[in-house]
Amino acid sequence: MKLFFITVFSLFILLLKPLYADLKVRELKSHDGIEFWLVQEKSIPFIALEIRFRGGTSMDEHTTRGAVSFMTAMLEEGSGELNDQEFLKARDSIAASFNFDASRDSLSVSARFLSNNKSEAVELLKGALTRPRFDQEPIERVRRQIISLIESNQKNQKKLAQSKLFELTFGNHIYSSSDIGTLKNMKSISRMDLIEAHHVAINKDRMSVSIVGDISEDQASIMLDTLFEDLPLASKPLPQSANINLDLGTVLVDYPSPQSVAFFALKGIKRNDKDFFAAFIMNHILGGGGFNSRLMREIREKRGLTYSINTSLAQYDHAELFLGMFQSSNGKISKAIEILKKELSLMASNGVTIEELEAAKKFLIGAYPLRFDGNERIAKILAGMQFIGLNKDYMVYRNEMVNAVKPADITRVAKRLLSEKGFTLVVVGRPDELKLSN
Amino acid sequence: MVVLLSLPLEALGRVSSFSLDNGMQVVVIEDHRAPVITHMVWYRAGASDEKLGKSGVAHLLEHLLFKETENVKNGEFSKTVEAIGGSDNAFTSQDYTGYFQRVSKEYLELMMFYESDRMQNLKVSELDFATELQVVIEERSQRTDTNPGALFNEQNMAALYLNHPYGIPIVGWRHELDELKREDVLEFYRTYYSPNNAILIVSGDVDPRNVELLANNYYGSLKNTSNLGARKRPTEPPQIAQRRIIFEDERVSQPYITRTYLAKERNAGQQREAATLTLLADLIGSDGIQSLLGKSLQLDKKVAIYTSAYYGGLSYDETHFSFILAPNSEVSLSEIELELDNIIDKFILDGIDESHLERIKFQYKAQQIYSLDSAYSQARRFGVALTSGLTVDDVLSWPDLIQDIKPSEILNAAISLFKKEKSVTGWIRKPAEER
Repeated sequence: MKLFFITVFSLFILLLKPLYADLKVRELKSHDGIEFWLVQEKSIPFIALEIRFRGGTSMDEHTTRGAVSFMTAMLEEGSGELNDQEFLKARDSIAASFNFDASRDSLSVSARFLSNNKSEAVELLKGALTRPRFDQEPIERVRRQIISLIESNQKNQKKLAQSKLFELTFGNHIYSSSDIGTLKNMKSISRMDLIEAHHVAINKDRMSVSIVGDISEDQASIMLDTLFEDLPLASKPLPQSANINLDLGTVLVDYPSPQSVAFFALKGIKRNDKDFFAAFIMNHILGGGGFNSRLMREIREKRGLTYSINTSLAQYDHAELFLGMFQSSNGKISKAIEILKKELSLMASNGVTIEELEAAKKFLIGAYPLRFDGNERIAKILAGMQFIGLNKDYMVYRNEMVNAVKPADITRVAKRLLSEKGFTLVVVGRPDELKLSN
Repeated sequence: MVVLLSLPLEALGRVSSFSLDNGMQVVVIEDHRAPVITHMVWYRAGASDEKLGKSGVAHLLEHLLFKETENVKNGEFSKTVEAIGGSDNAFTSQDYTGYFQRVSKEYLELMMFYESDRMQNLKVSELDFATELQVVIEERSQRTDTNPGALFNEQNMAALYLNHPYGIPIVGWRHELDELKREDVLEFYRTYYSPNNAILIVSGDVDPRNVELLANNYYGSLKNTSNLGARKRPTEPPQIAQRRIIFEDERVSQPYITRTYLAKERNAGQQREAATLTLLADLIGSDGIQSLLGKSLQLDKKVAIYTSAYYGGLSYDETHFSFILAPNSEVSLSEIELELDNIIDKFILDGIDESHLERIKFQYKAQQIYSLDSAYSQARRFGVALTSGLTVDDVLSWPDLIQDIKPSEILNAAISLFKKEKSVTGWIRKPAEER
């Protein structure tokens, strides 16, 4: 067999190239002053529009928790002159798609439509965003669906683990309860509550907007001015920062299942912290990097104790956490937890090796440009960047920031985040021999 | 329907296809917007090609392909992909096993080097086998045993396919997984991992001539290790009695029912019936409250909180058409089943809602444009189709076929499909409900 052996080392020369030049992102402002980012891409005759409204389900009051996510589910259930079925018919007649999603800090809108039909699509989307009808019939239909979902979540092992962890760590903050609300709230949320939720969660001065596709700058500007002209300005302040409790040790929730689910939290880091990139790389090496992370290697690859384990740095608007999750058979989970704790303390005391750091940098730097493929993917990334306060130059300097991280930076940040005192672990299942609260 | 669709400019989405001398098929899909490629190798071998009693072998082998070969150290392939910023993974279904990498375009050759190497030179140590078997058992626990819906689905398929291996779960029955031996996996590997049983698919920023050149070097130089005959699995006997299953699990929150019928799959040059069934599923159930099921049971009678229909035509052997209905808390499973029977009768009695059919067809037309946005999805679409026995032409002619289907064909398909004696009805609920 003739093989063209390429030495792996010769490959790395190409890695520090900048993001390719042909992704031309423009930071623009419409005639009415709406800021947006645009990438013109004429090779496919459609447009991807991405909008993020800051606030999301965190705009809920405790007493009507779930209202924002309920309201979001109602946006395609009729607006203006169109009832629920008429709206869907109109949408499908032009093959547009609108995806509305309420999450912890934002309400996001992903719209996709053919360039030929953009004015019809924008009219429909404008109706959904500015003139939702909240008719009683669809309200009751959607309410029944949400109640069923809440009931299912209460029996879902993973959801139970996550909600228990957040309930414990976030105390009285709105983050402590589930986005979609409780059964009690869901039975009493009224049409007026939905109107109020709409008013506080969809505001003209809390938007991040990006457009990718077959559209000119001028057309985009006119389109956005039309789309947003009737939106109100924000009237309700965003929530305060959360106080986080992390010194809770191990908490067990009984659940009948052959496996246990483990969900854990440690101290997180703000995105503008000078050690953010060090933490970002530390997470990749520890548990964020898929098959080649330390936790995957030690817990899955070497010992077969789990199918997958991963960790992530969570940056919410009002709190930061370092989170991780895995599932193991009830007979194996104690061993898996023991190895997890050993790896956390090893990282906190010794940091990473030069080889690990170099491998992680190569991946993170090389992977960055690969994510910019596809209009819809690019639109999401660009709206997300604006949402977290980055400008488009970030695409150029981001890899330099990754490359500048030294082993000592990682040790420092690992000590700061992975302290044994700030470790909370929720186990849902029927684990053998689990030691509680260490 | 105000607008005609215009076709995309440039070479975006252009498909080329050819075969290497050893019989390995190659498909190239161009998308030059970003300097990224997806490199995939698909084998016409999945869980349904396993020997009886050895369920789970195809999927376990897929895991072991990430270990070592005669030329490459344990885990080196994935580490290399990581070092170049790429991503890799693999998937196993009843009809295929596929491996892929998404990387920057300059690494196509490197991917071919590693992927062609592991087609023939795999080494499986006893230790790797034993550890990976434990990982797969954990995977089964995580995805199936902790999920009552997945267990229910497994039982439904087992009831639907009496004789065909589609009734056996891809991940394997737990008691058979426990008994698997290293040699079982190696035998499957030696039988099916051969260039004449494989398909290479490259999509993204590539020149088809360059792909051909490289493919000839790396894959074209491989010898066929086995001579596979026609791919024939046991077939289903005619179904003469309706089947029912009731699955009870204390972890169930929302009870629901399913109804499943065996249905014709897409076959090379013969896809018309499958195209008809695809539209039937949309009209009667899978289009939310616009479908007859949703409109009648969610909007008008308000007895269901969720309704849908599903038909997947991409399958090597006979596929299935199913309904799923979740009743409101005041409605019983037997009541919602009766409603389903009534809707099926009503659909056949009322005939086709032609304006709904037009909207559905228009969306399929638009989908041709939207699907160009993801080179990865395009590659995957061709992989599934070709390992299901279709040709590139079958994939390319499918959208026109959908547009050509007449309302009368859909109605006739419904009449011949929905026969209760040829169905499986499943109930899933908490124990002690509706006793």
